[in-house]
Amino acid sequence: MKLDSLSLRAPSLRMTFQWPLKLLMGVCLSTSLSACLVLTSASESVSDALGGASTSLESVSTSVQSISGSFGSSIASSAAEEETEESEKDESFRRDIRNYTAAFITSGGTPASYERELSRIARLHGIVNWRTQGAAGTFEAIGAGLFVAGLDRASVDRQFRTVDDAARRSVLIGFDRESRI
Amino acid sequence: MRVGFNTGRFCFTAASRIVRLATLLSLCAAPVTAESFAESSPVEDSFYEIIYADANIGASSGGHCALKFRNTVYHYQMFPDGIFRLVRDEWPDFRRLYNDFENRTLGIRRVPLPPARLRKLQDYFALRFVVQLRHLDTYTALRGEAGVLESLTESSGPGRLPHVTLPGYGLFQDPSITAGDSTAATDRDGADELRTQVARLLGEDLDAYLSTRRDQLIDRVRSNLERAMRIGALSTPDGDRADFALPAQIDADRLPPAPDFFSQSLLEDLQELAALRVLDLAAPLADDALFDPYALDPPATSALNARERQALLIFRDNLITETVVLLRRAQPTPDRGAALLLNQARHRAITLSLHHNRLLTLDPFPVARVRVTAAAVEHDRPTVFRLAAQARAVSYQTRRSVFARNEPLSEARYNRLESDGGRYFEIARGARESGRTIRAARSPMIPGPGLPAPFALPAAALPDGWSRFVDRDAARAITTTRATEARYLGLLQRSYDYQLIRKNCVTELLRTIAAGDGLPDGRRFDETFRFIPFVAFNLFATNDTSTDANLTWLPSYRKRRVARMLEREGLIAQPRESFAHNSTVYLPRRVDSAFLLFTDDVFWIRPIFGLVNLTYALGYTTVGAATAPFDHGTRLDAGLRGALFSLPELAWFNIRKGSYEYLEPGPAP
Repeated sequence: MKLDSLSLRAPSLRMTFQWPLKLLMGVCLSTSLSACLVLTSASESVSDALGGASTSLESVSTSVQSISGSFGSSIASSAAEEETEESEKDESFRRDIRNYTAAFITSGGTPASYERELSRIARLHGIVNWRTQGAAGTFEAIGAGLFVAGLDRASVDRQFRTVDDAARRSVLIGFDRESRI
Repeated sequence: MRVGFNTGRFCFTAASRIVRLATLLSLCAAPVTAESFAESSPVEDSFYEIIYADANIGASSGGHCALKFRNTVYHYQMFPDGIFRLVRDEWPDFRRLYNDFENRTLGIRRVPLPPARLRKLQDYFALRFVVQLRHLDTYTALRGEAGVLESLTESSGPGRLPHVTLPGYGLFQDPSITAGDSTAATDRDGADELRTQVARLLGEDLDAYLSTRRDQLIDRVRSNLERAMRIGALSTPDGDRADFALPAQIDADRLPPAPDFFSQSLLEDLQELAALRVLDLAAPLADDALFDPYALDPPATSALNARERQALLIFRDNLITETVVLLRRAQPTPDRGAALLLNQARHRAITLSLHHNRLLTLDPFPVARVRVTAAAVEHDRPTVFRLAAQARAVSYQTRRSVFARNEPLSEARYNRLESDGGRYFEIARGARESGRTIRAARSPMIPGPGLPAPFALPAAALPDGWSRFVDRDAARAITTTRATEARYLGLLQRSYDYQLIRKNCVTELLRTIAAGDGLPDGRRFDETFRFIPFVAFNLFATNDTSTDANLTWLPSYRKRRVARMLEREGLIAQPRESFAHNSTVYLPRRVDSAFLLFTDDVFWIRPIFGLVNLTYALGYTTVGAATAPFDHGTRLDAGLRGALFSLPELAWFNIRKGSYEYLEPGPAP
């Protein structure tokens, strides 16, 4: 596409000339100016900074750019794109749950702490009722995490047999699917 | 090795995986709708992308690097609290911020990787993110512990019940308040209906259930307070909390044991007590909890249509089912109170929406948010009106797409209605009413935490000796907790530290990719010059960069606009757009420093432009020095920075590109 290739139209001589300059200036800048600092909003990262480990829960801005930047991802996209985005979000949620479950099995903790963190991760994805509707396969992800943690299927099946059947089935589906990958 | 968190009540060791598996069983008390995982990607789609953001004034002035897995971007950033974090953003957010607002050209290089290794790399980044989350949450929990102790002791006294501030309880008014207007009456009808439905589905006498549950919760609250009373007595010789083992170091690859503080359980139990109280007494929604984003829009566009009404009705029924599922669980559930409060509030909001035939939403803004000052709003009110129009368009688009699907409304999609509707309401109100600040936060925003309210502890929950603890021992417990909190923060800052050359946003990204086995075959991470974003980006290049088929450039916002103008108007547009003060696509901002000419889209004449910019900036500095007493030195600052950022231009290097405060919405390039 024309616009995308703007920078590639430059003559190769120019590129050759620019490279050592960029290196030199990169050294200078990296050592003097660049600090990868957060000055503007960036979704959950800022929430973590403010709500997690900062002395202030609310930051004050004197620029309306903060408002303008807050709905960046909401800008129009087609229905098909939206469906893809939604499915990627679901997948990201399940990946978090799977990795968290596997890590929890390895590190240990109380049942309450497991659920507390699970709930926290679900909220990052806009989900409160992760046990039921809108959960985008929470229990399958838990099953996948159990496989990643190295548990054997028979023990998972045995342990979950005493509880709700639908949940057990979902856990085993996730476990089996993960074992086939 | 003992890795469990020893609280005396629960302790799990790495030797007993089955025991730990059993701990998960308490989760499975509810039916779920299992959805399929996405199938593995075919080999040709198996790649990640490395992103290079050009230099510009401000943060990351030497450039920035990030890694992109389809729509998810990971990158490292330093935060004001001194913690250097792995950040996860959605690609549209990341692109809009760096490529549009910050006006940086982005280089995107596709890095093919076999599917198994790609998956491993994705998992590794997700794990690092979850581990970091646990570390940050542990610190938050420690801070919360001290805060709850302070709140309890400060509010205790003769004839007074101690209280704490409960997240989400502010969604509702005090149940003793009786409002008389028609909205309040509808709200109360909705609450009564919810109560009736819950009683029917629960299949037992609701009053008896609530009474039993309250007694159980009061016992748990008492037990938590007894734990609080032991804190001071159990401190270590170093003055730290004995029930929280401060780790010697932070391991970013391994999930640490979760903290188990009294305040976490206490707040959760109190939230549940509050939720039962709301259910029992049909407490009305708080006035400021409900937004009416579409109130000023004509009914023809804002009214709910039949499809929307039907979807909301089904979603409301599901909320009732979920409420009952939560109530039926016998085991203690950490998030039950918060979920019960939110489910009830959402049920009311939908009932009122159906009554008024307009979509009403709960205030979704979280505690952690940006608040734009009233002065800033006043200063740029026309822009705020444009933003309100933009937010309106977005919220209507969300409505259309959310309700267009032929499937029941999921919670995540309903939450989009809340987030986008809430944002529209907030900005439109700020634009209309003078003196108002405007809150800003990214989606997803879940209503509740941003609306806390005080909740008094039941008298029956206070253990024997509580008054003595408050008078004599509480101060020591608070001091001990604050000391542990400070030490833990110090540990986080030392472990998640930033070093200009050895550990910056680029080196950390490369290290993480290398640790996740994601470097292209034949490449390895060495530290020579890899701290420079541009150099690090080239680590992923094919040997011949001129035929690098995997490389795409996304020109900055201004470059894209100017390119379109050149196509339309011809070369005559070039000189006009080169002048910052004459440009039709750029509005000079002091944060961009004082300059006359853009130098990012010219090369051979860049030093001449740079000389002009330097001369202009020095003149501006002189004027700034004279006006400093009147403008707080803002001109002087812009002039000096303008001179500084003109110097590289004399040597053909460009940093300054300008940036934007407001942009019209538009499709991504």
